[in-house]
Amino acid sequence: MAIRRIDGLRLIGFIVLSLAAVTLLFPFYWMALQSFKPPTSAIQTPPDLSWGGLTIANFKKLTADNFIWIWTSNSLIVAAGGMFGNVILCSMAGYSFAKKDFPGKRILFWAIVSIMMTSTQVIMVPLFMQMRDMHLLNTYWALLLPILVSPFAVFLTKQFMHTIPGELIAAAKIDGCSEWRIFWNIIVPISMPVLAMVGIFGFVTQWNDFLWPLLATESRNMRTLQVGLASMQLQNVDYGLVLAGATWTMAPIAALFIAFQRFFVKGITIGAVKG
Amino acid sequence: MRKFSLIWTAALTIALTLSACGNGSKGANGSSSPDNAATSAASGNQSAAKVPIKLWVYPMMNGINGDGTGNPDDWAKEYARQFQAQYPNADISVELLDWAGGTEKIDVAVAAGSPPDLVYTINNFGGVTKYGKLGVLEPIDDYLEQSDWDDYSDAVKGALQYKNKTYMWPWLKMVSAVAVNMDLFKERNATALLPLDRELRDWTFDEFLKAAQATTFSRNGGSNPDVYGTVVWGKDAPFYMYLNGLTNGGNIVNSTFEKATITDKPFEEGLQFTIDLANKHKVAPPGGAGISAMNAKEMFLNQQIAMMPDAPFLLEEAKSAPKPFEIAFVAPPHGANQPTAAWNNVGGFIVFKQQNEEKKKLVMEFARFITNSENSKIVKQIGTFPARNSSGNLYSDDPVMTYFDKLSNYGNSVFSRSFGLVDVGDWEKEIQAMLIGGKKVGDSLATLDGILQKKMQE
Repeated sequence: MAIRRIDGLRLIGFIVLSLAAVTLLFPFYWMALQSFKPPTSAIQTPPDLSWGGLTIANFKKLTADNFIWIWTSNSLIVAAGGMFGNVILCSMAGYSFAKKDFPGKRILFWAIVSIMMTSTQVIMVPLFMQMRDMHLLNTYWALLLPILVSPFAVFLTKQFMHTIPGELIAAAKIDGCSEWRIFWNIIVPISMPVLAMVGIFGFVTQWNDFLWPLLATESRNMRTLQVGLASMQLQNVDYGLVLAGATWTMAPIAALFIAFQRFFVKGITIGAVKG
Repeated sequence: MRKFSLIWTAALTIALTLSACGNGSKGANGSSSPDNAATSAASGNQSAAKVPIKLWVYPMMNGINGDGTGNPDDWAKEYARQFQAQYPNADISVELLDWAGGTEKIDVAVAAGSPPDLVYTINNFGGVTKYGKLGVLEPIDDYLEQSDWDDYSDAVKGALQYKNKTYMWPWLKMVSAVAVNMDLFKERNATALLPLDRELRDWTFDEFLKAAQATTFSRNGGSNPDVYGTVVWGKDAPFYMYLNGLTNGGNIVNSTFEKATITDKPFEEGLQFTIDLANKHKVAPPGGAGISAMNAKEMFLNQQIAMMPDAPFLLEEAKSAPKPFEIAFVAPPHGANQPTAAWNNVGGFIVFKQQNEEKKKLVMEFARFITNSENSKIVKQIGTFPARNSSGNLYSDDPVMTYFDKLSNYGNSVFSRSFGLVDVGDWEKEIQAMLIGGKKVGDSLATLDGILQKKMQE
């Protein structure tokens, strides 16, 4: 009887969660569907959800301008740069904070953590001035340098690596491992779940970033996808173009999510379980 | 382990690639030290005499002639090319902003001390007021001749200045009216309530209310309306929502921008009428505080709203609506015994402070070139009017635009300019508070008055 009740509860939970999933996915479905329909369909009330009248005209318009390919590749470079930068540099920083002792460690760590509480907008002007004075504006460096290290990723990797038993490191040292080999052969493999998560979040954050790429770039061929698409929008809104652009932008992220779904789920629980 | 080695290799490859790309892009940029180049220009060295000029524009139209074929910065690049043919020492780079983050980009560039030389702005962005106040703009009074002043209408002239100094080279003017869904009025047998037979199509608040009541109904026969006479919204384009304060004889500040007049009775009563349309008379959709200007337009295009304030380009959008309908434009309603008034918007180019006198002259010349009577005609492509009278009537065969042109003479530039004194968010916050009944109109206006007073004293 008790088992049956649990099954019943699980069924209810399944139904509720399924409904929530459908509700959350519906806007994406609507967006993707409307991107294959004439522009007027998007503002129709009640919404046109039929599969009739599909067209690729919006995507033709989107890709008629070759810039879309340049912007997409720029976004890929920036997002991949952010991803690798976060994984490599933040894991090293996280390891140092978790397992090494050096003067000013606590102050430095809390200084990094406090950056997490600073709004991005606050640092935009000084960052812009820095890049301008270094003559890096409108280059990939301007897009990449500020994102290579993320305070959040340092915090996350430190928290995870803190839970790795010190005995493992001590044993490796007794076996004659160098510092580099300890990090490379022991810490990194154990930390794969958190590194995957840091990488994925780094990619997604940089892929979606709008403000800094807007400020840091000048020429159209240096724009990222988000900024480039925004600059295609004239005063009168072309809903078809907007939705095709949104679908185009979302596709790589959706693919990334599907491919690394298990890391996303693991990543979300890292702080709760290991922290 | 092997996998991780691969990741390292990939990272190194990307880093090396970026290194190469980065240097290449920087070389193409060529605008990292404009002042040095300008100094070189002044020194007379012919090979280094190029004067870099940065022009920032918004995506307003596509193509060289604005005819829709091409890129959104083609027209500006074409003007740059033509100007450079006349002034070979000018080296103009055109940067395309976007409507979403363009003003932020300008703000950051100004704050960082490296704004563009020339940028497009429009009154409701508050550029002239905001940057004029900061003292980062070059006054253009010395460059404007009497023939220029004679070429601008009063509505345009009033939009160019901040505290008696002129900062904007006017390029276009636009005016808003009330768009009317004629199909809905015909369906309700209510066309007689519209002021279509009057020369200026002007009408009073009472007449507008009657028309809105006649077109608020339930198409499905239910007890709640599903079609509303008009719309009152709380997000985006707040200037439309405060317009009735102006048309009731009030204004935000006085004509010399020295005193806030927003709490004066005419303005308060006009705004009260706007709020009453939603909260008392119920001729606007409920939940107005959460409705955006974009939502309002979508409802209008879906024939759920009979009348809404907007610019003439709504006409084209109505033609391609889900179910196209006939559209007419009438004047914004006004208070009893008040003249017609309209929201007037003037767009043009502002010049940021220049270090080099020769470069300043060249930038001013370029601004004059873009805004001359011939080059200004391109604004027809976006359904607006050239700021110069000498550009002629571009819409002689278009009754709708001829009407808008007539109405533009009643535009009030002080109203549209003074919006720049208060952040859009503050305007929105107060209209939302009034719409949800959290604040009385007088209290909201007092809050805004406080902001205005503070801004004007800074």
